[in-house]
Amino acid sequence: MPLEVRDGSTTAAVKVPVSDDPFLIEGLLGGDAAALRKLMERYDRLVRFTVFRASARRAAHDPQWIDSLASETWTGFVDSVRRNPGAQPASVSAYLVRIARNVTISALRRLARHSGQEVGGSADQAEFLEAKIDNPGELAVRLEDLEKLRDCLAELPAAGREITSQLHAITERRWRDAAAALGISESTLRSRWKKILLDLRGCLARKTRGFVAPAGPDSD
Amino acid sequence: MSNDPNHPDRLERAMLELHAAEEAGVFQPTRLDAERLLRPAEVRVLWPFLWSRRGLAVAAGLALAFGVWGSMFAYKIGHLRDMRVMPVVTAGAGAAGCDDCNFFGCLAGPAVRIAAACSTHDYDLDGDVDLADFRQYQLAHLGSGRVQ
Repeated sequence: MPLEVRDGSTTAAVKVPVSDDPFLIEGLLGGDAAALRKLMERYDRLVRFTVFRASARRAAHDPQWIDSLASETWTGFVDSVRRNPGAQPASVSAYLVRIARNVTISALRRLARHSGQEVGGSADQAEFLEAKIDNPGELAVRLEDLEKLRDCLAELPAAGREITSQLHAITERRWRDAAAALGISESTLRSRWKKILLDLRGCLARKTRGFVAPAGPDSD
Repeated sequence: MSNDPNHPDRLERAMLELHAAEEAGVFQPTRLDAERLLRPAEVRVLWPFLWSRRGLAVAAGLALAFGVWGSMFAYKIGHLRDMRVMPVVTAGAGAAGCDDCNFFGCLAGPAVRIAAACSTHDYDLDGDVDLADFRQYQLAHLGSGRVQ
């Protein structure tokens, strides 16, 4: 479910500077920790988001899950690049997404084996199969959208941010519960929420040229 | 597709996903030491293992085994050395009637010619001082010889 549509395509190219990736990998092969740190700074969030998309349910239950698998991904990346110094990956982001995806599959399988479940039969496995993470470009675009939304949420006034703390109740349309928790009337909450969504759409439109965000309920 | 006003719209669903991602730690940096990651894989794996509880137990076991083996080896070496220097037969050493000679000084092995002074230790009279003579020497001195 992409939040953003650019020129009718949901798999637009990732807008990160990738020109010096081969240079950074050369540095990594030469043992330059700064080069590795730069790559991590650039792609760590994508790695973590890949793990999250592939195993959101597990990630919600285990606070160490993403950190552990992201570490495993980076270790695998460094080992893999070192094993094949002559064959650098064409796209570092796609390569990392693939490693993160495989690491997550292995971890879910280990978990299923450990808990005595059949591989591929657990809820986590089903979740993984549902998650469409075969397209690294789409994943990166989705992450970019969420980062923009995060920035926009941070720009909201304090009162607006307080209202977003009741996000689950509001999206489940439990207006009365949310209003009671916030200590305001239901009608005030409804109007403020409408204003918050309007502000967020405006912010996203400013941040992204061609952002499409319908005002009401929509289709997937 | 949903036109139900009670159904969360796309932006709200994105907010829910963002909230879940934040809760799961997607936006936190991975705690990883780049210098350590660039060490050779063997060092990277072995070092944490050695500092783990299991690694320390293995290291302690190895140290103990090596200590036991070393002690046994040292004891054996020391024992051999003591055997070589300690049993000095002194005057009045009993059946052999030798007053001023050292059996171990004469012990040269089978078929090795001996000096005349050592002939008193050639118990079986075969022209050498070997372990067969040592056996006789022990029998002769057991309980009656004065061994230092």
